[in-house]
Amino acid sequence: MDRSHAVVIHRNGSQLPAHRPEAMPVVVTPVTDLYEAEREYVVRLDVPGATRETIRVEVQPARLHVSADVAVRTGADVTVQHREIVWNRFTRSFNLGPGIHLEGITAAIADGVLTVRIPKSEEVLPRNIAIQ
Amino acid sequence: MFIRVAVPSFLEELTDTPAFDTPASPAVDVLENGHDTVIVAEMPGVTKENVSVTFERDVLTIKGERKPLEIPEKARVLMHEQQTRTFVRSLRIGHDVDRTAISASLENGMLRVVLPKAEVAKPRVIEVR
Repeated sequence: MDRSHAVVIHRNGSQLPAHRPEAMPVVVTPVTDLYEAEREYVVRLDVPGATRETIRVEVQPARLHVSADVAVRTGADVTVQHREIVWNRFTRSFNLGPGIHLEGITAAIADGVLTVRIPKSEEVLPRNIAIQ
Repeated sequence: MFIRVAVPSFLEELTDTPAFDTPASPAVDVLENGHDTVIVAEMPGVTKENVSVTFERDVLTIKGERKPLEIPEKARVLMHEQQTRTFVRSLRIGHDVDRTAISASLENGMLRVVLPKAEVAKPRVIEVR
C-alpha cells in the first residue's frame, strides 16, 4: 500500500487493519433506547447510514424485527486508508407482549435514527369510570 | 417504605448525571483517491445545525451534538443505551490540503468530509523518455 499519504488516527493509539473482506455482511446490533409511556411504547434505534429505502420494520404477532442495510462506501478508484465502520447491516428484534395494538405501529427515520411507536391496545389503557 | 421512595430518586439522579455527556469518539472510515482524502464518520441523530468541522494546521476536528431523547413525564425507561450526546474526533492529515476547497455533508447520520489534496500532494506520473 502506498503509505506516502498515510493518515494517522488518534484513538487510544490503536489502529484497525485497513483492509477487510467486504463480501460478507457484517451485522451489528443498533444502540437502542426504549420507554413506556401511558399510551404507547417508543423505541429509538441508531442506524447511521440507513434510509427509508434500506430499512425494514417487520411486525409479527409477538415480535418486532428491525433490519437495515447500509451501503459500502467505497468506489473503484478508492483506497481504504483506515476502516472502523465495518458493519453493513443493523438488526434487532423485540418481543411484543400482549396488550399491543399491532396495526397501529408506526415507524419514522431521520438523521440515521429510527423511531418506532408501538401503541397499547384499548383494553390495557387506563380508563376512567364515571361515577353515577 | 423509605426505600421505596429513595430508590427511584437515586436512579433519576444517576440518569441525569453528567457522566452521560462524556464525548464519544465516532467510528470513522478514511478513504483516499488521487485527488481527495475522504473522512466518513457515524453521527446518528446529529443535524446540520449541530455539527462542526474545523481544519487547523494539519488537524481535522469533527464534532457533532445530538439532542437527548425527550421522555414524557411518567414514562418508564426500559432500555437506555444511547448515552452519547457529543461526538468528537481529531485526525491528523498526512498530506497538504487545499484548505479553501474542503467540503462536508451530513446525510442519514453520516458525516462526510472531503479534503482535496494540494497540488504538491497529488500523485504525478513522470513520463519516461
